[in-house]
Amino acid sequence: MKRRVVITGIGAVSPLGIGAQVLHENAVAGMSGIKGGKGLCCEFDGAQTLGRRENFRMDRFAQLAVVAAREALAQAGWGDTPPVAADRVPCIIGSAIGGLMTLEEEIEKMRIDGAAAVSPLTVPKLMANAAAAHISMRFGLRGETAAIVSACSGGAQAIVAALRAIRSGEADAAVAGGAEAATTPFTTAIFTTAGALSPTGTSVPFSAERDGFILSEGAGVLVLEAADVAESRGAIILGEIVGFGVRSDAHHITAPEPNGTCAAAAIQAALDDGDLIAEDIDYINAHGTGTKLNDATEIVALRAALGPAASTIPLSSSKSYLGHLLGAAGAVEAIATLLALRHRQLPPVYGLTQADPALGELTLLKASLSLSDEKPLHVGLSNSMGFGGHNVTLALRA
Amino acid sequence: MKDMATTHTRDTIDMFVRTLIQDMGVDATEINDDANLEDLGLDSLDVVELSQGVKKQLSIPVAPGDFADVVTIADTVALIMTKADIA
Repeated sequence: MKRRVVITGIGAVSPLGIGAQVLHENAVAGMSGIKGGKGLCCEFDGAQTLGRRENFRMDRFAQLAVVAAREALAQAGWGDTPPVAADRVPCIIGSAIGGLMTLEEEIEKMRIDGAAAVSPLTVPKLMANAAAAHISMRFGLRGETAAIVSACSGGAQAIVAALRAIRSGEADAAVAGGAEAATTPFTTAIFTTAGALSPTGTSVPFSAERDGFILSEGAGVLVLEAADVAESRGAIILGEIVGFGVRSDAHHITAPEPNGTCAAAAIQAALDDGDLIAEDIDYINAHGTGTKLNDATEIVALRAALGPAASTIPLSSSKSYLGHLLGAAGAVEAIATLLALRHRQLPPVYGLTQADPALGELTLLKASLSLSDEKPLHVGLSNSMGFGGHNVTLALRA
Repeated sequence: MKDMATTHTRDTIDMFVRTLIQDMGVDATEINDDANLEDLGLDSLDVVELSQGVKKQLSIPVAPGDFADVVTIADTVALIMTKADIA
C-alpha cells in the first residue's frame, strides 16, 4: 500500500498578492493580477518583504521562493527546524529559467566595464537551484536539495519528486514548489518572436480570441508530509496529493503533440495512481495558457482521458487571472486547486464571456462556482505542460 | 579618471565603504571601525564586490587579492587609502 502524502502548509507570491489565501480569495472574487499585459508581483519588494541582505545575495526568483516557503512552513507549524529528522526532508523547487535578471545585469556589466567588473555572486544568484538552496539553508533542510528544470511543468514535477521521495520511504516530509522571475524585455522579446506571447496582452484562455499567454512571475511552495507523520504530530491537514502522472511527448521542443496522446496518458496515469475514475473528478485546473495550440491540445487530451465526463467537469485556468508563471505555474496552480477544493469554491476563467466553440462542449467557469456540501471531500486535477514536451497531472483531494 | 583618486580623503573613503557595506544589507548600527567583516556576515564573495565597487566608483586601483589581510572596517579603509596614495 502506498504511503499517503498530505499537504500541511502552502505559501504563494503571485500577481494577486503575497499569500496563498489572498490568491484564492481574489481569484474567486473575480479579480485579475494582470496589468498592462504582464503579471507582476507588484506588492513584493525583495529588500522590504524579505530583507536587505537577502535582496543583495539573491535573485528575485529565489526571494519569491523563500517568502513563499516562509509562509508554507509557518502554516505547517514547523519551527526553526523540521518536525522530523532534517536529513529526511528534501527541498525541490522548479524553475524554468532561474535568475535571468541577474544574468542580464552581469552581461551588461561585462560589456560596459569589462570582465573584472562581473559580480562573483552571479552564478550563486542565477543558478536554477539557488531557490532550493536558500530555502534549505534558511530552514535547515538536509535531505536532497535540487531544482527541477522542465520549463513550465517544473513546479509540478518538483511536487512529484517530493511525493515520490516520501512514498518511497526515503523522506518523511518535503518542501516543494516552483519560482520564476523572468519578465524582462528580453524574455518578452523571445516569447513574442516565438509567437507564444499574447500580442494584445488581453488573451483569455479557451476563448476563440485567445492569442497567446501573459508573462508573469511568482512562486508557490508546499509542505508535504507523510500522512502518518502529520497525523502523529497533530498537524492540520489541508489536503492530500492522491495521484500523479508524468509523460513526455517525444515530439517537438516547443509544440505539443497535436493528438494530446501523452498529455492524456499523464492524466490517465494520475487517475490510476490515485485509484480514481473520471466521475470522481470535481474540478480541473487546466494548464490553459491561452495559446491556440495549447488549449486545443489540452482539451483533446482531457477528452481522451476522461471521456464524456470531460464535458461536464467544471474547468478553469489560473493563468486567466495570474498569467503564466512558467516554472512556478505548476506549484502555484496546485495551491489554487487545493484551496478551491478546500473552500469548495472554484475560481473562474477570468474574462471569459464565450468559449471557443471549436473546443466542443465544456463546463468552462465564467464565474466562481460553489461545490456541493454533499461530498465530504472533493478531487481536483491540476495539469501542467512544458516546452520540451513535459506533461504532468496532479490529483489532489481536500 | 586617475586624477579623481587624488581627490579622495579618509572621510570620503570611510563614508563610501560604510555605504557600500550597508548596500550589501548589513545593518548600519553594526558598522564601526573595529567591526570584523566576517562578523558582519560578509564572505569572500562580498569582499570581491567591495573591491569592484571601490575600483569602479572611486577609480582607486584595488584588486580582490589586496584584501587578503583585511579583517576590519578600519583595515579596509586603510588599504584603500594606501592604494589611493593618501595613506
